[in-house]
Amino acid sequence: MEKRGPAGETNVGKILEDIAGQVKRRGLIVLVSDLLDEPEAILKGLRQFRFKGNDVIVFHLLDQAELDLPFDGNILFEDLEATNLQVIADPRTIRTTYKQVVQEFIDDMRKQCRDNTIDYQIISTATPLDQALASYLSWRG
Amino acid sequence: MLIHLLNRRQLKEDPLSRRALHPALTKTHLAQLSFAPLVLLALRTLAVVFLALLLANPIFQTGAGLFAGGGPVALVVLLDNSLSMTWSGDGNGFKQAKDAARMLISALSDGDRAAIVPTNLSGKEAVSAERTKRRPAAGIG
Repeated sequence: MEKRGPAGETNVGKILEDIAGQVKRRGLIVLVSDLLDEPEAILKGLRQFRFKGNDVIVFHLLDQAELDLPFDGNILFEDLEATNLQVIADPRTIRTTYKQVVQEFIDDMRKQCRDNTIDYQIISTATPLDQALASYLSWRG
Repeated sequence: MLIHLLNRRQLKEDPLSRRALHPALTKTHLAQLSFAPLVLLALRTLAVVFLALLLANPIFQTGAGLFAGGGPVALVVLLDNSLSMTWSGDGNGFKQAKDAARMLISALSDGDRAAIVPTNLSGKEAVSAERTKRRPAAGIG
């Protein structure tokens, strides 16, 4: 991990399935991700860990700006993983719908995790990481 | 217990003495007869308690926090290292994910095993990491 940096597209669902099929020892599986992948693919992988008796925790990492879209003026939004996908939009006109869609995504992931006995914790960059984790650990303990 | 007591209240009182109907009854027999409802109450209460214990999850555990419960822990941290994790309004989401992994691993005890698996690895590489790493807290950077 020291040398390996971010690269490529989000493909969490696929790698979860690969690893779930090969990890033999029961234990604690912690996923730290922005979950920008097909939700059903992610959940399918996580369910496999649960099926094998592992405890599973999802830390959903999101930047506060991804939650609030606090920009003004015409902005060029660029998909970091798809090189040719760019959208110009005025955040003021899309903010309400955007926040609604993001909230629905978060609510759905939380519900799906709960239904599968998976701990789900959203972590925003607005909250210091140590504080967010300490809060979660104290809740779990 | 409530049902038991309500049932007792619904019993019709018989003005005839049991002793008169059963002259052979001794004081010991009569004492046993009045003791029987208490035994029944205790059995019913225990049945409810055992049923509750059967369905319960542990509340009080040894230790605290993420790794409560005692015994060695096998921890797998799946780090999303896709490009979408690099975006952040004031920092680097991937760096924050690594910080989260570092904090989780720092909570491990001697004898626990841990692996950090980036999601942009092949399954083979991931399992190799799981088998060989042990407390790699200093290896995250």
